[in-house]
Amino acid sequence: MKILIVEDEQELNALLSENFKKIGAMCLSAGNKFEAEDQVLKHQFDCIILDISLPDGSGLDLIPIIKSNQNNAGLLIVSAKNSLEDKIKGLDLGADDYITKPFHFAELNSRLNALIRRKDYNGKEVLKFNEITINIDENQVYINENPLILTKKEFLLLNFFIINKDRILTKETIAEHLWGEDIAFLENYDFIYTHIKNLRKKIEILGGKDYLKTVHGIGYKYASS
Amino acid sequence: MKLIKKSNRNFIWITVLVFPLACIVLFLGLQKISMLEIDEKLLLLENRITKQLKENKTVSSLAPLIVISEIKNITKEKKVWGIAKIYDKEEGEKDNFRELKSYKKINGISYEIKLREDLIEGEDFLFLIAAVFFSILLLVIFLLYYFNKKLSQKIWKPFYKNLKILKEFSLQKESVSSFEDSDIDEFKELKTALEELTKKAKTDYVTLKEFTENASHEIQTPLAIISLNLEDILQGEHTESDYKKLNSSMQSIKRLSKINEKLLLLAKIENQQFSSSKSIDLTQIIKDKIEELELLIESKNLEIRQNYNDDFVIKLDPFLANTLIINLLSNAIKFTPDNGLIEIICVSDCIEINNPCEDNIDIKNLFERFTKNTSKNVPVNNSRQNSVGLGLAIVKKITDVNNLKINAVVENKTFKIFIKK
Repeated sequence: MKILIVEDEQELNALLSENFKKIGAMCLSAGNKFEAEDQVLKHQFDCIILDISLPDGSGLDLIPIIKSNQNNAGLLIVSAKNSLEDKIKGLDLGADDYITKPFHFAELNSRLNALIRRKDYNGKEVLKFNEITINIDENQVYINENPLILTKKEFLLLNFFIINKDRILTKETIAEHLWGEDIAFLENYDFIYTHIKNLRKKIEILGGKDYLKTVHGIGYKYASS
Repeated sequence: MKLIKKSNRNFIWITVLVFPLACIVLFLGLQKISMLEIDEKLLLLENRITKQLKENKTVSSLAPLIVISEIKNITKEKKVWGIAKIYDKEEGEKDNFRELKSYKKINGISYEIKLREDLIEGEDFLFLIAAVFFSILLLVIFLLYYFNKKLSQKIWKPFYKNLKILKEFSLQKESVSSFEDSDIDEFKELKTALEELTKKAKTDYVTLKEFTENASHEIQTPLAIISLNLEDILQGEHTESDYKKLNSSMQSIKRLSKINEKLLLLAKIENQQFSSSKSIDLTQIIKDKIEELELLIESKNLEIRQNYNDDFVIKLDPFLANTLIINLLSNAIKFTPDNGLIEIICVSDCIEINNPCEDNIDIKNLFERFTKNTSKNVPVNNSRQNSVGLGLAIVKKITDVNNLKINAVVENKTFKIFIKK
């Protein structure tokens, strides 16, 4: 997987590229519009992470260039402005998703994953984790070929865990992913415990292993080993 | 009071005071001049009579105007001036006469020559002057009124037009209608000043807007870096207390970013940057949001009783409508103790949200920024401590900007908040 990161803040750019390398992607960086345009013309990417505010102009201006020069690149806009206009404008121009700073790696990975899947496999790809198989297109989970009936939130939760396997996810990160920032920030996060409890129970009934570890009261980790 | 009325009023007052004074001065002046004229005439007449008498010609008397009588010897010739009141048979009333008594010795005979001239009647004179002045005064007032009316329509037209433009002036609007020119220096100056002022306000506003947005951007990016770094560190092996510290740092960053975002939102609402108003039924939004918040409601085992007799349809930006309701509902959920009851009622143009609460809610400062109702009974770890304290400030701002009324009361340990059209 080849990813282009267009972000003028060097440190953030480096952090993102480090994160993507960890999940096995190849990363190229651009610090401004000019560099980004150069990269877009030279290489084909699977995904482009695009910051809107660049030193030499708006990242939105890059979208048409990306659209006409990239065959199958997913486009994820990163913005510090939680501005509805920017979001709508970006999506109208052809971006696939929009994420607001500050964000969690887990959230970014999950968005990226969904985006790539949509692009490359038209959503038909299945996500596999040992005995668990997730068919995203059908919203269906199988444990050793046996269908597992989940609620929408439980499905999202399992999906999120598997995409971010071996990563410690704080309760906030999980709540934010499932319910969106505004609602997630309202209350304490204990309520996600109910969902996790139900999910565990359902998997165990079908003979699935419990990979979920609690991490010192701050969150969870879906451990492969 | 209009400027024109005020200046007219002053003008009229001055005129009313000055006119009688002018009347008196004119009257006295005219009287003096006519007296001098009469005196001259009488002297001339006396001269002629003396001449006639010297030539031994008879001069007939013409009472009361000319009375010549011989008298016994006088020692000295003299002239005595005076005013005589004499009954005039012709007119049938007493008249004032200017009188010159001249004692003269002509050809050895002493004469007393009394010459009189009718004086203009003082009262008549005064009355005439007053009448003329009064009619002039009326005419002036009338003309003043008439012309000012015309003037205010014509001369003041640019002023009123510019005033109208100024009243409709909004920083949000892209263009300002151009101010009307006038050939009056003061208005010209005002026009230039207004143009400069509006231009400056516009540029300042844009600068400020850009600054707020840029500041928000500049803050969010470092926050993203801190947060991602912490998340990275979190993935390693740590002691439990370090995990907790990392977690709390991450939460604090999230909170900081939320405060930043909400302040920006407040500024945007204040600047009326949300202007896509649509007809929205708030009760429908409440129903939708309750569904979204179901989890929170379940986790606290709350009961929500909804009672809608009427719709609550208003013109509002959809984003603001959502923000308004989510803030109100989350507030109610947050402050209701477990197993509590939240009641939502909508009756004819009023939405009411009731939830149980403690008595010591500071209603007065409820809608102020960064007001948090953290009472002693709340455990330290409770999420209320974690709240930003901007929710109700945002609610208040949304209602203010959209001509809705909001108020809150505490009755019998129930917190009630009302939104009215």
